Amino acid sequence: MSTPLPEPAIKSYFFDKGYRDLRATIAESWERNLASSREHFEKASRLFPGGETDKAQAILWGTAGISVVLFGTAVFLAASAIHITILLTFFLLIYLAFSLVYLTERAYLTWKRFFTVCPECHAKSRLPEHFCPRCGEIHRQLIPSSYGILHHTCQCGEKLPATFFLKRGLLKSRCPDCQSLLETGHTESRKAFVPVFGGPSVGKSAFLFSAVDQLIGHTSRSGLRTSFLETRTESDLARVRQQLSQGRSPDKTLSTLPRAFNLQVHAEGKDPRVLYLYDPAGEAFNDTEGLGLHRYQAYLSGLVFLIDPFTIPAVCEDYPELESVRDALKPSRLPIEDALGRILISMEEHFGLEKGARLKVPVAVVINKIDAFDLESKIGEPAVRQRVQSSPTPVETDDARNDLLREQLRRWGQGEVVQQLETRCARVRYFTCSALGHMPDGSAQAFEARGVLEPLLWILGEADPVFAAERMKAA
Amino acid sequence: MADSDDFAGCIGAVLMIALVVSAVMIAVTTLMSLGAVFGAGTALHNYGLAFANNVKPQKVTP
Repeated sequence: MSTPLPEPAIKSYFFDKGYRDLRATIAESWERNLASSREHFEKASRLFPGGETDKAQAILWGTAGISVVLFGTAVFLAASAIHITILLTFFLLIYLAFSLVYLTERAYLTWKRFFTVCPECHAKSRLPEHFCPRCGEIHRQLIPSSYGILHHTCQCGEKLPATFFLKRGLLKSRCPDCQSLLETGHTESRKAFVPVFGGPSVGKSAFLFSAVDQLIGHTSRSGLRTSFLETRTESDLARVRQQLSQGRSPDKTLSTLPRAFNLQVHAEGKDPRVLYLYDPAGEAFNDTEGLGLHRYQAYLSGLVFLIDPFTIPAVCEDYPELESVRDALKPSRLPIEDALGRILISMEEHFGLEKGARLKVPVAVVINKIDAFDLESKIGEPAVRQRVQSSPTPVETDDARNDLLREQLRRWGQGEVVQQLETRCARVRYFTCSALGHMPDGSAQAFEARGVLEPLLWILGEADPVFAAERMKAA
Repeated sequence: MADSDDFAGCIGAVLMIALVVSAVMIAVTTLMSLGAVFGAGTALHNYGLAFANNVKPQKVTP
């Protein structure tokens, strides 16, 4: 067990200095008593050989010398007892007060579902480390404690709020694990964590940025307000938007351990929501070891499992003309069952999913690139609508889509993938999308994604009632 | 007659000695009591001084 580092703050008098003061007081009073006693005895011994008056005075001083030692001991014992009682009374009162404030804060934050998640290293913690605004010292435990009930006083003299209720979140903070700087939203918000998983070149980045772009548009139309926690995220989105508007695909993601893409959503009268969206490079799915580092899998709200249909041999056989557009289409090479298998193994090995148990979070299985050839008419929304209309019994569009895509995947020889999804995931829903909107053809025609918002809204809606309402509006 | 005079003189001397001894004892006890009170006061004063010298709020270093 590591010893906690001392805080750069001044501890409450009744938890630290009070006892040092008491010890010093006892020591000094005892020294003074001995000195006084010695002085009185010396006077007595000087006076005693003299006349009767001197002898009388010698008796007086001698008795005083003895009395100083006897009464001095009694006095400092009594005074120390009073001193200790006062110190312990305040110690107890302060202990009770800060415990009460701390427990109230913890209960309130748990009820609010507020906790800290680092977008860089994905560590989840109860509290970030805070910087003193004056001297920059790091306060690792800025909570009601022996350093203060409501405020801590930094060693530089600056008073820092020590509780959520006094806007502690406005202080600059950092991740206790990797020391990356954090924003208020990384701590004081309700959060949803959604990664986009899939092999290399399935179109994860285009999906993520297009989904975020559409989510921003959708929420603004429905009265919600979105904002970015960091300017870096905002400029990333602006860059990808520009690329897509010029008919260029987003740059390939290089980092197998991605930084979260954060988007803050404000609903009237509700706590802010912060989305953590993850876009790992497809190479992360080449082995299970690397996936163990993706710590966000421990607290997922749901996941998007993106499928490139051109990974499936049967689809490639269906479209022999694929060879002529292979470079533009960039089919993924990682078989779907391998990617899915590695995700599940990683969850089992590193994130507490029991062998054979079902993943409880919603899983959106999204077949991408349906703009290619006639896939849209085969498995896209027109095919879903047709299925709904031709059904002899009333059927929900979502159910019809699920059935259609499940059947199609089985026809393409992906029965095992469907089987694994159905047996290992408690809530699965199938979607189709085109993250680019049309095949990359080298022209400057803007890419406009289709069907990317629905899977994200479905997952968010399952995780949070605010987004469930949004999903209803979108539907 | 002479015997009774001697006896009275003896009693007087004893009474005198007892008086002197009592006076000395009262004086010594008084002096000792004063000394004890003075000593106790000194001890209390010493504790007060030690308290004033040591019990201070912690200073911040700006």
